[in-house]
Amino acid sequence: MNRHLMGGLLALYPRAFRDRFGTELASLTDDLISAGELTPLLATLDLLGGAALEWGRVLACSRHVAQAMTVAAIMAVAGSMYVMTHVRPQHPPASVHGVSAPAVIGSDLRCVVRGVPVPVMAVVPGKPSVGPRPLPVAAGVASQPPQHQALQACRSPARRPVQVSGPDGPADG
Amino acid sequence: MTNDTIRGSSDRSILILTSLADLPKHGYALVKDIEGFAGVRLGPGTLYSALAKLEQAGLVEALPAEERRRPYRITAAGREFLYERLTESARIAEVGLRRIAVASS
Repeated sequence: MNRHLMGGLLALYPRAFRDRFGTELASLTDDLISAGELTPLLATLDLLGGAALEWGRVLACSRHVAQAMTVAAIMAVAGSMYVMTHVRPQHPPASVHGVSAPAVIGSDLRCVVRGVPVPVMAVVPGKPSVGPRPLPVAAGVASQPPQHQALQACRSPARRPVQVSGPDGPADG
Repeated sequence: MTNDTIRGSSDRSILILTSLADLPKHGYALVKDIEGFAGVRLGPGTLYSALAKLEQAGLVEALPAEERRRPYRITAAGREFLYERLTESARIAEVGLRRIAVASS
């Protein structure tokens, strides 16, 4: 068989297999063709099939790795859920005028505002306002001055007038 | 790789192990021997894929190369595996032949 063709066919095999068996494979192919027991076309097809088999084995091994990683990911998620549901918070859930944000676990209102978009309505003291003002609750917005003031008002021990509404509407304290 | 993986593959592994059961052989001798006793001609890619699997499973091992050719021989584990598989096949063959005989009579 043509050396270039043989080299090209061997290049289709996984490197580990090629390094280990490449020389023997080429030698046997040459011997069989020289003895007239194999045509170059059949040899090419057989080598292509062998390469496919070897890559199939490599992928099968990779699938085992992927399965192990999946199991590890599931265990990580399960562990996180366990921690979230069983570990007691250091501070009681934030409550503003008796209305608690449902997703507050071991955190204060600021964390909720940063992490979960909970509908929050607040009246900022000292600001002219017709009604409750919606607070943008996306991450990073809390650092903006007006909202930051409102959050500080929520967290202050003095409990300045703040209205928080849930899905059912504003709740007056 | 476990024996179950070998068991799940085709009978090429059994053919190679059977060929190596008496004496070590290199690739060309394996092809000719298997063709002689089983009527199956293995191509070089097919043969070395099966050999790689068997070697990885510890059922065959390579001997030092002689010129361009490297002989392989069956290991003790390979001999035991082959014995189990052939015994199992013989048992199945016996049952099948007996039932055919009963059905024919």
